[in-house]
Amino acid sequence: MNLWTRRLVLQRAMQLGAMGVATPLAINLAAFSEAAAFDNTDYKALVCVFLYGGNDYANTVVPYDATNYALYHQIRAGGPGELQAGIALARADLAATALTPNNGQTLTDNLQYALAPQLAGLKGLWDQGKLAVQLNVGPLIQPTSINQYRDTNRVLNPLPPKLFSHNDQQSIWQSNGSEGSTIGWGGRLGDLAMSSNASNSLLTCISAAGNAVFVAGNDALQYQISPGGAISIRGIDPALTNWAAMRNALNSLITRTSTNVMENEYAAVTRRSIAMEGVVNSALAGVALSGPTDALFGTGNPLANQLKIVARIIGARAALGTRRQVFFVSLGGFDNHNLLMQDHPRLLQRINDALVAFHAATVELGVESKVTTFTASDFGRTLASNADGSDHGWGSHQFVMGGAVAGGRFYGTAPHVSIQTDDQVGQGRLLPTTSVDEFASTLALWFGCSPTEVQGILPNIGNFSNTDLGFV
Amino acid sequence: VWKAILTDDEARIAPGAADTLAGKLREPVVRFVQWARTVGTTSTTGEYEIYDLSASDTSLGQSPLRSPSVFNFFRPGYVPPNTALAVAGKQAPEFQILNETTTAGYINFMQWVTRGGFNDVKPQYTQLLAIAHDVPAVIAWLNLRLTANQMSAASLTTIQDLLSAFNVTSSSTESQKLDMLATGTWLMLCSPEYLVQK
Repeated sequence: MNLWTRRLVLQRAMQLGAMGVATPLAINLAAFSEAAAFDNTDYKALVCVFLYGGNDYANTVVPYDATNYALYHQIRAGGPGELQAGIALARADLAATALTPNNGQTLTDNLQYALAPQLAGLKGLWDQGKLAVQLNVGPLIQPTSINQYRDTNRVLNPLPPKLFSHNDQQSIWQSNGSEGSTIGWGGRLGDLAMSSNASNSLLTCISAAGNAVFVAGNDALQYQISPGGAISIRGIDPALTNWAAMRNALNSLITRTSTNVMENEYAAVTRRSIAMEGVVNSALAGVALSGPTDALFGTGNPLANQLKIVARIIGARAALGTRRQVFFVSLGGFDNHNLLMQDHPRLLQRINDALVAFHAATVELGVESKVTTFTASDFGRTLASNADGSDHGWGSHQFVMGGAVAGGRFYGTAPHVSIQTDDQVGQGRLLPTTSVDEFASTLALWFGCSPTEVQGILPNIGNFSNTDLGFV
Repeated sequence: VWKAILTDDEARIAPGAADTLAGKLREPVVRFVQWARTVGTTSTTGEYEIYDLSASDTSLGQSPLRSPSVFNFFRPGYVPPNTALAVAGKQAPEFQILNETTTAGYINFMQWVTRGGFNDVKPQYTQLLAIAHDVPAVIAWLNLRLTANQMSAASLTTIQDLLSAFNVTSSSTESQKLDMLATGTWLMLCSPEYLVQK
């Protein structure tokens, strides 16, 4: 860490030197002001869309050019021709969602990709340059080759703990630590950003999807919101309970402090719930999405419901005085060992519809370039078929969406479509070529962190040369 | 293995009052079932139509056989962030489904259920109806059965004062008695002193 800091200082010194004496002092100061970036008066939000269960990367971002499609089709037990069979999609069904990178881009083995047919809306956002695809990203301690992976010297070649395990890899993606870790990198961003949110610092880190370590910081608490808004306790609401003695009795029982730690923590959650309910709901009352945008969210799509309340909270930013927020939403059901071809498309449709609606809402709210949304998942899955689905993997492809995104492009290194090459560890389980830390670092820098602050949030980032992948 | 479990300190020695980290949070479904069995419930149709209780904003946020994944409702290794439990390095699995939404949702749900029941499942309060005119007796009855007499004197006083204000006498209507009994039961079920089993 000391070394890294020293290097940073040297870099800064060199940059200043290069600017020369004629450079106005203001610019020099700007170069040094990154630590204060969170004092800015603009608004920015980071939204994590977590796909619980481990999303099947190969049927999400699909090899489409004839050569690579043939490999994909064969490995996924598609049989002869280019038809849907085994766990391979039909090539003809991918034509409408084939991705053409803007300004051209040559990928490994001249790969051309298509999105799954259900992701037609995301294809539209790609064409508009609002959606980027980060290829083969996953947890790593340091850049790792296949030989380092196979090596038994884990001191020299450390690997993330408990690879291929759902609960642990979910935790590692969110917090750099296996299950039981208590601080996520979204929460650490929140720690740095809290002071920008004035009196409503509790609304810095918000989950619309239950408790998630991603949005838990050292100081920043995760505030939980339901798709309908904050929940009012009827028994203490004068509008619903007009007997004051009753309200007072309930309020006193549910909020009182205790010497027992668990009782005390329970009451603390209740106190927070009560304190924020009025603030949040009155601010939300002033936010209405237009009919057409509202309709995009549809009904019965749990991810869309969560993103809608996120959009509304963002819409209430002026009333709430919030300037920097980190959100967490999720969709479950991705552990498609079985019935992949039946269940996975439905999930992708939900992702597509929810993200398209959310993007439209950010445009309508005038924050398209202030909100960056990214997907994450436990792990990718095998490329090989288990006859009815795919099994636990490691690296995967993820989406990054928003007006600030340098979209219509792929980032990272495309893996060979193979179950033998050195960029996979068996059956097409991808050995990540981009680490979660690099991915997170890129987002953190956009959010307003200084490079030194990023080092504090992502302890392994110093092991990687690329702290800004450039997608946002 | 059995020997190790049965001879473990936590199994042999009851935590003392000085152990501020003692206890475990009762799961929402366990609270609901404990309430139903304690006050007595019957089905008007024999169907016991209690379906999905998963909604965290309007219901219990937990429903039998409906865990969101194969990993059940919460993980054994869960440590609630930003709490004294995290500082002490203690797991508290049941806290994984406690948040600003579920705490409010539970209180609202139980307020409704303790008086009106759930669909065809109606609470009886048979034993309590017989002593409804005697508030201290009602409180003692509930305290023993719900918290093993562990509720603090201050909380008992809070509940007793409110129930006394219902002015229920032996000649009150059953409906008046039930209003008071359901309120008392509900208040106790909402108290963290009940919610944390010790």
